[in-house]
Amino acid sequence: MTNGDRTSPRTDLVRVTVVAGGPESTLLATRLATGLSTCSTPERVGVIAEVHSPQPNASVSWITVAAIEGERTEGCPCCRSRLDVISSIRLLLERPHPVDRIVVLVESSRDVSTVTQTVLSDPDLQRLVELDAVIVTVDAVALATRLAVEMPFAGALELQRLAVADRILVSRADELTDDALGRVMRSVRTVNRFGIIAAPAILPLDIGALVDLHAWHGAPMVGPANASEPLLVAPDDELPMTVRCEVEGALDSNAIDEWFDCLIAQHGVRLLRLQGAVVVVGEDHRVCCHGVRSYASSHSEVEHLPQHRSTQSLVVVVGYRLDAQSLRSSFLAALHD
Amino acid sequence: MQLLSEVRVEHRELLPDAARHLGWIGDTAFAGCDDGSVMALDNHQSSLCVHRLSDPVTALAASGELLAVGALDGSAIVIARPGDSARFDLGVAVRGAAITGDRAVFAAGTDLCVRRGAEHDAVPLGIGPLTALTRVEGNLVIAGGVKGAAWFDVSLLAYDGRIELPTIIATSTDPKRRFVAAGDLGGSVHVLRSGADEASELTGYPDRVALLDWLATGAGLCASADDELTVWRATDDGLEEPEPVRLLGHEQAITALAASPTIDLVATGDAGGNVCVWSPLSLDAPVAELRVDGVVLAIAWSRNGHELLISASTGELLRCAVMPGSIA
Repeated sequence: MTNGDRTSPRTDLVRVTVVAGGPESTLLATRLATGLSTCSTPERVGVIAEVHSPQPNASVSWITVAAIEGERTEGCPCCRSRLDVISSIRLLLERPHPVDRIVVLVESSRDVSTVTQTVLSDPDLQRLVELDAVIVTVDAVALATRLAVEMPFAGALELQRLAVADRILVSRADELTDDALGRVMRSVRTVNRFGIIAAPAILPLDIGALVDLHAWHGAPMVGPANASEPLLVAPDDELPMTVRCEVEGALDSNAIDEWFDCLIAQHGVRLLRLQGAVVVVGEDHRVCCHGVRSYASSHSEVEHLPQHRSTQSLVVVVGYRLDAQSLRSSFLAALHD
Repeated sequence: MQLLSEVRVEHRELLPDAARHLGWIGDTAFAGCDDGSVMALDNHQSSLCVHRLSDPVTALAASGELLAVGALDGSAIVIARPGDSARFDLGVAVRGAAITGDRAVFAAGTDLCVRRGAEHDAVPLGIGPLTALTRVEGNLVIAGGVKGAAWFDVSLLAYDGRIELPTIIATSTDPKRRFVAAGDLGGSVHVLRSGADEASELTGYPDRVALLDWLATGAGLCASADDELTVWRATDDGLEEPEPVRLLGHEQAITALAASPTIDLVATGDAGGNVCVWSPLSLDAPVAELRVDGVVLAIAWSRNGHELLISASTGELLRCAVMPGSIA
């Protein structure tokens, strides 16, 4: 692993949920924050957003960092987003009465990877927070309409956030026929191979299904059920792809380090998400890893509950133009003789 | 040569919220708080709320008789003296403030906003969203942005130079007016000569360089990233490379840094509540230490260098007396 190695469990970190998507994501962030702050064990929740709260609520600390006019042409929105996330999280936590949980609302015009990378990699945020999950909303009606004209996704930013999401909430699903909804669900699954896709309008979700997921902490859940044939076929450089590398048995320490180094060196800028847990010779517990773009870090699985542990080495890589065959074969080659 | 022998807490005050921005006008200390309040603390007296903005304070500058404060929602105020204040809205988060003579200057969005009495001018600097602002000398300020840095004459409302750099997040002016130092998001310090269109780059920091300040005599530049604190010795030709002196004392991320305006001392604070005072050209270990509860958020020296103001995430504000000593 390259950077950010951690050996001891942290229990004092505030969990961050990233909510992204179209206009419906603002409503989701609001409901999530309000629900958590008014439930039977109420929490102090902070929301970081570019917009003002549509339903001001005294129990939610809503920080609005307004977009800057002319920014698209004059500046670098990626750097500004990063600085805004850092300063806003510090503002919510480094004060006499800090919040218990943070929701970061990412506008549809912003890059989710910038936010996740910042939360994972920034030293100030590493001592304060833990990325819990990325929840993405998608409008079923709009997606079905675009599917009909064979332009299913609005652009690269939508594809990226769908590809890394741990939960995808398909809104307005009740306004589609079963066939149309099926096509929508399968098209989303084409892009995201491990997240849970839900249609709350048809099957209401409990708030507990969206928080405390620890989705960026251990090995991701990637089961055979998610390996359906893709609905959409496009050149590899247009759709994000998911490469699953797995093996039973212990890996050689140097060889797996080299595999990660090569992965980041060769694919870094195209990596949307890297996550897994590997059995390494000489380690009592699996080593968990996660990363975004060229950032990666690791920690011991000893931090996890016993029921979440396993003897399998599994790494999932999400990105553009990945050489799946080469990644899998070199991963297998790291097996200790 | 003077080394510090003691930093004594003279007064403790619990503010209504955490203060991230501090300043001095004469003997009066000012604190800009996260609840938007602007607190004034006279010599050993309880603090007084002199104004309240509607969002967390994100920038504060004090000089002469002027106090300029800006907030996250773009609201801002210039206070000339008690009862003489002007409040206005800049529309977007204020990321820096400076005072030049009778003008208050704000970095807000992509514009530099110059306020003189009731006059108000806003000029786009062309370096993207602004992130930092420092007075250089006279009416000259330097602003940092996501595309570089720009010198600007606030009396002429004209550029005095501009340079493309990686995203700048902190700036500091050499007291001898030879250089400006700028810390960037990628972990480098850029040393610029006023008006010049090139910079020397000091690399090797583990993360973004958000805190940096020049020693009072201009003999060195202190810069920090994460828990690493360095001092680069400076001459009229520039900074002595290739290696800075590393100052060892903080085990957690450094969250505040300020150099004395009168002698070559630097105060730093960290996320664990440890405050160190350094004589960095003489010793690589602290010459005085004290602890506060919570994260140290800001440090400011009084103009005469005799007092230190320290704020913490608990809302506590410490006013400390600094007693210079000498090498034993």
